[in-house]
Amino acid sequence: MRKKIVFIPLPAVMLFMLAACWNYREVNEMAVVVGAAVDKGVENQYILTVELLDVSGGAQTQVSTKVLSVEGETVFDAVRKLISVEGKRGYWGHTRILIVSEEVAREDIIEAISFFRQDAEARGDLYVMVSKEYDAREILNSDIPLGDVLSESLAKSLENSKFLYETPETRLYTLNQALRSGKISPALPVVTLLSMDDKTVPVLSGAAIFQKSRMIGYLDEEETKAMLFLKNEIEGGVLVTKIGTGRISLEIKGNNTKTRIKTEDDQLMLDITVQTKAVINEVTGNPEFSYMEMLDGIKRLSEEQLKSKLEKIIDKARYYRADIFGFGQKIYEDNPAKWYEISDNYEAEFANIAVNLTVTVEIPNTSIIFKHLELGE
Amino acid sequence: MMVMQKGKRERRTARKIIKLGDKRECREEAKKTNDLTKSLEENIKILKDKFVNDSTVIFRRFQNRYLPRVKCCIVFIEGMIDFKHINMQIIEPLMEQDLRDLSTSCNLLEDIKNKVLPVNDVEESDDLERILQSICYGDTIFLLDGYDTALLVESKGWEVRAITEPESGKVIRGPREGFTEHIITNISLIRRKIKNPNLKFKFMQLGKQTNTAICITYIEGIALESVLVKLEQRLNRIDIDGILDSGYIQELISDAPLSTFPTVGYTERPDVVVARILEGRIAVIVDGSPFVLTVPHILVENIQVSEDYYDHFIFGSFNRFVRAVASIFTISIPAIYLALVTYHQEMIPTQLLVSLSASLEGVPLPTSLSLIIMLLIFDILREAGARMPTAVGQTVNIVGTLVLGQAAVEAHLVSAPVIIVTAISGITTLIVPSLIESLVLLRFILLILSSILGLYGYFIGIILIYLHLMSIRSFGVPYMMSITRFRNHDGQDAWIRAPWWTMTLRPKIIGAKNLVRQISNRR
Repeated sequence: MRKKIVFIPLPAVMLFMLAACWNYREVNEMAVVVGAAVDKGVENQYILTVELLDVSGGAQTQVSTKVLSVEGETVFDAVRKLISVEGKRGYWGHTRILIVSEEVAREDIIEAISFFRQDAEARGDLYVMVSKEYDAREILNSDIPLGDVLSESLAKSLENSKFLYETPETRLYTLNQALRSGKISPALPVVTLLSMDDKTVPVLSGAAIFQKSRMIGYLDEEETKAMLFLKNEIEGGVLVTKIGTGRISLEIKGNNTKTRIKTEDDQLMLDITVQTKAVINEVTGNPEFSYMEMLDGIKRLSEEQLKSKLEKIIDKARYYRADIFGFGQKIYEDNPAKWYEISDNYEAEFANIAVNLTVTVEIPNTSIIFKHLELGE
Repeated sequence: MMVMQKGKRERRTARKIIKLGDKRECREEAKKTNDLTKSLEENIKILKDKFVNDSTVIFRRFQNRYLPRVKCCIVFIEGMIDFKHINMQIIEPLMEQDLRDLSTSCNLLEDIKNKVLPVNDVEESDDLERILQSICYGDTIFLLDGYDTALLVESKGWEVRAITEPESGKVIRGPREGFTEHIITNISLIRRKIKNPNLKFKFMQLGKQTNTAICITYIEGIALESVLVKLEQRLNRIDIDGILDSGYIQELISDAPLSTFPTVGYTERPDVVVARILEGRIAVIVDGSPFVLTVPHILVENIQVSEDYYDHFIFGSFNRFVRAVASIFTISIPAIYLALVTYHQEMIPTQLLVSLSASLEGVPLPTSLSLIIMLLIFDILREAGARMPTAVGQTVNIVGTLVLGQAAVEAHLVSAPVIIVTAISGITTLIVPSLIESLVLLRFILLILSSILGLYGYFIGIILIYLHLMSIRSFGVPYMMSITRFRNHDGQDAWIRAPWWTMTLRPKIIGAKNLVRQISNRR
């Protein structure tokens, strides 16, 4: 009986010990970091730039942001030095984006992201992006295109990129997974600055591709879309097909890319079938087709043009020796033994892998008015 | 040394008093055996001795007109009796009626009882204790010279409150009558609804000084014997000075008296009592209290309102769901808000965090303290409103809403979300009136736990409450019955109110003796 009584408070005590890092902290005593940028300074110093929420209260809530830059030996060192500048401890639980400058990314991105990966507060779903041509801190210091918070609007536009499919939507945990597994090369969205009227606003453009943890090159929008096709991440967006001088916009209604692994004579062979469903949405120029001819023609042309795009991006990836499509993962899932055999020398193996690409574009229906507007006489 | 002596002396006197008390009791017991005599004057003297210093006791002597040797006296207490009744039905026949043809009778008292008094309830008794009690309860004592027994003539008649709509448990649809303080009226209210000889009323008297009548009501053949036996045992065990409300008894027979959750139900509405009796429960009516107790009482009864059964069953179910959710909200909302704002900011959406931190700007008190203070103030307002005369009550309302609601926020004494949280929590407490006692306290306990430990603290509290509720029983019935299960007829009257044609069985355990309520009425 006495033994039993001893066991009663045990769960309560254990709850204290097993609980994670938390503490009583009032909301108005913390500096909420909504976005961060990492740059390389002189003498291997890191420059951490943060966008902090600056809320003035009362009946009318006014939200603005403050951008601060701190230098430190490591990212975490800079994070702690932030206290001396801001006076409050930063709160990383609501951080939406992390911008890494090209310089840091080319050197080794792990250095920049490891704080965010290991810290208790930072979320795994924050967006990681690479700044092109400009320093990362310049992006955070630029003008806000919409709303009050720059990081928020950047994160929003990345979230809405699903209607465009021209940037990869990479979160911290996908990047971590990619880096750890080695079976796929990460591709991060690229952010750069654009001058509009008297404002300089950040825009997303294409992707930065990595080999292991080092950045090795850029993809433009078209290439990014082709990459997403091969990763089977396309669910919508626009496919533009050229017909002579005219252009036809197809709205993608669905896509299914299947990658099968074949092993012939110990030689790996990838069998990729891309099946896209799309509807005609816009016709410009004046393609001289009859209705049936037109459907057939558009289908044939779209397939050809999409296939050439896909082949181009595969060639580019091969050139960089970066498996941005995750073929390694497919090989591992299909034939783990084979993967362990080639994994030591996978980059070279990837460059020589045989790919058999089949593209079908299905056009189930068209718009009611499919002919180009003809001017009256 | 002096102190010790004094202490000793005090103890000694205390012992003496106890001894004296014992002696007094002995003497009283001795007197009990000292019954009435055959002499009228002596009998009057005995009663006068008993009621010394009480001038409301009236002794009225008179004789029969035709047979003056019939000397008699009636004794009654002013205010407890109906004067007209005594004049017309007792004094007039005894004075005016020709009793000469009874003069030869060998037992005149018996003849008077049988042939003269036109009163419905007349009893013969020679037990002094019984006679005294009868006088106190509004009967008239008829003493006749030459007899050592008295007649107890029913003549109760005192001012009672009319049957009005009860203040608690008001309904839009349903009967509007409520119990009164008069036990006989209350019994009639129940009897009127169940016209069935199986409905039993067992009377008892409790309270050494007050001699309060209480009545156990149940339907034989439906109520469980085990519960009845347990109830009677517990009632017989009660040794108390006085009973002024059924609350005394509720506390004395409750299974878990330390728990703030009620394990004995109470209601002011006859239809609710009848519904519970029909389900196999037993009611205890206490004289002087408009609140009738019912046992066994389980948790789910607190969210069952009589109107659920009178309204459409879907609407009734929805209302019941609202009540269940509200009673969980009322203890949880302040605790969860505090945990989120002070421990788990990552769980708040960014937009909300922005507006929260804006409203917290410049507020001097920490959130936990301001929540506790605001909830305390709410309870102060609630308590003030409950006791105030209606006219002053409005002032309390205005002061409460204006001062606390707006001025405090504008003066940056508390943040607006704290007011909102307090208001929601406060309003939701009132939705289940019978649980107010427990919910108000639990709200504070959970709030304090979550201010120390965040959501962990909140969940520790919730788990402890749940364990507590699972552990208590009411007269052998698990307190959480039919809440934790949804199978068959367990859940038909708990989280929802099933349509009447499907409620063919009485609740489990409580109605186990006679489980089938009705055959299915579905066409």
